[in-house]
Amino acid sequence: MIARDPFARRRAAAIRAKEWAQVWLDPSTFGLVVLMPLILMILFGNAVSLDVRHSRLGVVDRDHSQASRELVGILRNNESFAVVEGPSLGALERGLVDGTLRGVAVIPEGFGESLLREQTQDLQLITDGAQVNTATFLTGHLRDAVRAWVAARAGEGGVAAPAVLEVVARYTYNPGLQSRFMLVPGAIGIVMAMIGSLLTALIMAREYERGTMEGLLSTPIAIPSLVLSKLLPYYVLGLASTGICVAVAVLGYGLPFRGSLLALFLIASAFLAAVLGQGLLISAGTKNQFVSTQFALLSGFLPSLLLSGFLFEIDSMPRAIQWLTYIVPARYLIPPLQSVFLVGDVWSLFLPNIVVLLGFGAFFFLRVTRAIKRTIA
Amino acid sequence: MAEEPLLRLVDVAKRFKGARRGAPPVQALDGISLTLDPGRSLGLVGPDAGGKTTLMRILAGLVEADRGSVEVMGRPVAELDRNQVGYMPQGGALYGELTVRQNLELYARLRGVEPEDNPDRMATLYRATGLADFRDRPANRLSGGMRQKLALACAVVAAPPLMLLDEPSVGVDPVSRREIWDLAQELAGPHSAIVWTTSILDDASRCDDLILLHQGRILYEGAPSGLAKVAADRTFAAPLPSEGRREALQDLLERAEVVSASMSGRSLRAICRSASPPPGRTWLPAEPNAEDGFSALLDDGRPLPPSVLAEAFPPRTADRDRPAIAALQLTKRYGAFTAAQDITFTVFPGEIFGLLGPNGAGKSTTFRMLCGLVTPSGGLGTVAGRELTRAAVGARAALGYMPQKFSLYGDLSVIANLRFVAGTYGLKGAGARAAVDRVVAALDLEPFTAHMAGLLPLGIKQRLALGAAVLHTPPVLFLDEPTSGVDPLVRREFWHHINAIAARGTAVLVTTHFMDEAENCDRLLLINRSQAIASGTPDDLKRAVLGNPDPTLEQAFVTLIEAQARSESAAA
Amino acid sequence: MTGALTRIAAMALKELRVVLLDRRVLTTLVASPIIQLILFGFATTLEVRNIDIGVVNRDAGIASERLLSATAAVRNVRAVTAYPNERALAVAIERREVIAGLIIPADLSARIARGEPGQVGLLLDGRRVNAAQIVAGYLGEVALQTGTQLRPEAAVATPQIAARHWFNPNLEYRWFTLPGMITLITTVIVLSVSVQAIAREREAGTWDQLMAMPIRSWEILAGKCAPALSVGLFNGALYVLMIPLVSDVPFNGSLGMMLLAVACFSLSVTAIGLCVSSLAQNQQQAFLGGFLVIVPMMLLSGYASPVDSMASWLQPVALIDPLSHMLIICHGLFLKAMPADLVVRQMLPMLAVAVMAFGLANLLLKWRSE
Repeated sequence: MIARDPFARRRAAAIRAKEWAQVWLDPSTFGLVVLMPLILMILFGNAVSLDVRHSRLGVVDRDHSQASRELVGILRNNESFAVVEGPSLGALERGLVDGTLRGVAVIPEGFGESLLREQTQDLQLITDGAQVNTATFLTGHLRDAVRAWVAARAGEGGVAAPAVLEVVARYTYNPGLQSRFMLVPGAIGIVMAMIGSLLTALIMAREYERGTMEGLLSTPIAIPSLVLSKLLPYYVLGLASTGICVAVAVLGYGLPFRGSLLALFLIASAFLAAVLGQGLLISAGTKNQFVSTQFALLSGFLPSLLLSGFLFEIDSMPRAIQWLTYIVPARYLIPPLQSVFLVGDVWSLFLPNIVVLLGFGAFFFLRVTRAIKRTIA
Repeated sequence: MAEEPLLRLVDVAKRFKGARRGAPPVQALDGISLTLDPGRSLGLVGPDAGGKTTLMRILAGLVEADRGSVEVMGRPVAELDRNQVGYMPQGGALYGELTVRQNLELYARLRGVEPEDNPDRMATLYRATGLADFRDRPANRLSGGMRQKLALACAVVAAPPLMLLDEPSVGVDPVSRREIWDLAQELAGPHSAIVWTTSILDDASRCDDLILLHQGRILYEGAPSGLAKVAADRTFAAPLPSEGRREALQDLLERAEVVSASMSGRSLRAICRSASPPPGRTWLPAEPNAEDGFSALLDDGRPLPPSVLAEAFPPRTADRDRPAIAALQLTKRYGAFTAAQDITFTVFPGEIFGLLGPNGAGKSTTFRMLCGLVTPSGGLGTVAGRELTRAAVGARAALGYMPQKFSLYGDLSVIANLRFVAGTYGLKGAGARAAVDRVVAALDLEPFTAHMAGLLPLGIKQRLALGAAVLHTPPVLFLDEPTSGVDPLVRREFWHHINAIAARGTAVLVTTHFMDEAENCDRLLLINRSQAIASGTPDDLKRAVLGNPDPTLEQAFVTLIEAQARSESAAA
Repeated sequence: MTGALTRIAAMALKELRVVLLDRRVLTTLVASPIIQLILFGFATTLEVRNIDIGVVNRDAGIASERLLSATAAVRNVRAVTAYPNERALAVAIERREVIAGLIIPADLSARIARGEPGQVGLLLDGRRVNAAQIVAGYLGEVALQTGTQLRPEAAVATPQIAARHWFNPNLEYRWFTLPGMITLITTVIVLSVSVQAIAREREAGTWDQLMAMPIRSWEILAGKCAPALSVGLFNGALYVLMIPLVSDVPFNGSLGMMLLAVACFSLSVTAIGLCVSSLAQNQQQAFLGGFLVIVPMMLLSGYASPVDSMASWLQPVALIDPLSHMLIICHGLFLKAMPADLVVRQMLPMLAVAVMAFGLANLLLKWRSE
């Protein structure tokens, strides 16, 4: 029926032209497509860093020996810490409560002497346990720093004796251990999820709210054709936004791009198919811009940020939530996206994820065409 | 082909769920049967909430009937070929931010007309609508009349056999209204049938057949002249007194034997409940029109009570000679375009002052400058002695404003809207409750109090908007096309209220497209192409029509506008 | 002044009706934050658990045996899988089957027996920087311990770190995330409600009628705070009561202070939302504009990563972010029994932001209404 209609393609083209015209006329769309990737890239490049550095560490030196002063000096020169010295634990305690200090290290009396006698005294460390990640890193960093210092003192001319057994860590794909490398793909995911679910959540609801849906439905256009034509411009915008992210990441932050553009295009397309479908379904289901953005935020943006495995490891989540991540499209985006930058074309990883994402897209699309009834009210 | 009817409805019914849980369902349509042959036009009229829009949506395949059969071109409506139907929803389904061309081409392509392959059709559309010079203007910056023409063109771009037009002439001036009718005829195919809903009987009378829907049922079906006959022998006319015309009308309306009354030309018309004229005056039998028939048919037998709305207004007798509204050379320019130029007039307390003019002439701009919504580019406008653009908020309390477009909250109930408005005008507690109750009672909003305002029929929305404007009994009232989309009986009631409110000493500034309403005004200002072209009492304006002993105001309106157009083209 | 109050009250009541009348809106505003709190609160952990490690073992001696059994015994390690060679291991990492792989050379046991230092290769998945670093930390510690066991005499006396973690002795990640989620979820909800306040009126065409009424722009704005504020307060209060119920996170601070802080916080976020709304011409612009604000505010809050680690030019920006202060208060009141004076010190910047944003919204509104 649709295939035989000679005007079907023209109708679809007319809807696309209309959507494009509306996009051009509204600066907010471009704000989202151009500004959002830039803001995110800047923030992920400068604000979000999972490397814990310059942690404010209070130090109480009760020993005042040559060794303890040396240790304090060592800590001051270590970029993991920003050292604040205080006369007593009590004086620094408030800092832990109001968040100005992440930990307080106490060098006990007799520390230097005990080192000479090779009967070491423990260093005390009190951390702000509320900042779990920082506390963990702080403990580890302090341990490493002290160990290195002691080993250097014991070794010849300040060179540490080699340990009996040690691991030599090598990070594949990201030897410099830059967390940007991991965050940039996540940023792309967020941008696409937002353009996909948020923008499209608005566009169908807007037609209902303004009453223009009644006009469209009274014309001969087929509903699947209407839905696809409305989606297409936003698909192109999503790709454009991805392009901006990639350009900034590669040119601005020196992120390697080891895969092929074709792979990136396929991955991004598959993901966009899923989220655009999701947004439209929300939009068609609620018919109200306000409600649909709420839904889009809650079912699109936040899960993409929190449950996709880009900031937080899925394997570490409780089992029930791990199951839930299977219905978050972004979960299938992040691993291939990270690989296409850092590894190359790992088709054995890409293809299953692409298939799942396209499956989501098809499912949402079918639901949308059912949710939009020819009848109104 | 001609013997096959285009539309055949048998015993169609539709009911909607109640507004709230537990509220009784609303029977929108009940037992509707009708047929429509190709080439015929059918006017659908009826009071607000009578079921007109629901019926149109059923015909367009946008609402499913609960019962009965609906056949379009011999096939059930579920299998409707949408290429064959051009449907114009109420308000037009235009994209306001898109240009005229973008809107028209979108709908053309959707309806299977490729603009590039059909340059003749497109040229015809632009020429017939008069939009050729406005192709690149966004639709939301068109005047009301142009917008309706564009919406009509979008709906019937393919000259479909069946044209369904829902309120195409609402809010449109008399000249444009006729043009829209002609436009529909011109754009139709040779055998196209038209279904046209309207609250203006004058428009409906142009159709071949007429159906009057009331509470979901057909109350009248047949030729327009047949509807007029309902009021035969019961319509009378008497000469209009030169003084106290409004009082005479008010008096007439409140009489038990009178269904409805109006002013027309130099006479007072009355439709009575029996074949004998009302007492007083020298009444002569008059020729009834469709509107008279409508009023007679829908008469509920109750005389119009004195306006409760007006009684709440304190009598304002002081300062009768100090202008309540004054416009002094008010001018508004948008870039190179002048929307209003040197508009000057004054309105005194107790006066009804009418602004007349075609759509887009500058009436609303003048209105909005006086209300403080638009800053004038030049000139001065004062309301109750203060300039509203600069004055403190308190000064706005002196003003009651009913905008042209419904501007209350669609997602709030009627009662919640009224309570909100009461609060913003500083009414609280018992005072607010009393004011709200009064408005609800006076405007018959009782059945709708719990309804969402946005889903109300146009006429009920207008009642709500009027109610909101007079809640706080202001000394100055601004009404921008208060009666557009309202059925004749309710129009009569509106004016009954407005006249009574003015009688208490309130200054009323009103715009209207209905010339019988303009007769109610003490003085009129005719604005065309951003300029005031005539002013004075209705009779002053009528004198412009030469060679007619008893011209109607509509004739005066057309004559004056044409005169200006001639002088401008002569100057150019 | 009573006139102003009446008008603000009317506006507030109307706004509450508009926002809360729609049952779907109410559901999203009330039910979904609860679901999110539980879902995201438990999901967002930077702890690395259920680690899968690969190994290419060429050493048949005691050293590798000890090392591998110690590795398998680490609490968070789920499985240790053997691979025949480096190539196979690299592929497993590439496909994300394992996050790291140990490569044990053939002469490891022999070297250690000879008293020479032994080295084990560790290949990690650099795509997952954070997790990989933590795994490297675990395995480094394991190697050190195993070395000491194998040759106790070689150990240098090293001072141990006796770490005590105040406020959260077992370093439960939930104790960080659940109180922190209050901030994030409240922001999303409050901002998305407040951002549409003015834009919705403009789009619906009700703005004209409003402008003709005797109500000042600041009164409109004040009234329009109501729904966002009440939604924020409701959610905040709900969370404070709910978190100790559904988890073992304690609430040690003062409930009154917490509610006060939530109110201040909601107010500042609402005011920011009103700024965006005053600028926007329609709902779409408002929502997207709101989004351009939400994301930076969330990322600068210190939830995803601590403010100290941010670029130095961004740290002052983070200080204006009400979220960063609310986050400190949430952790402070839940875990640290934060004294009132410290709470107030974090509340003041939020209030300052609220006042400034409100003033700005008022200016923008007047400017945009011309």
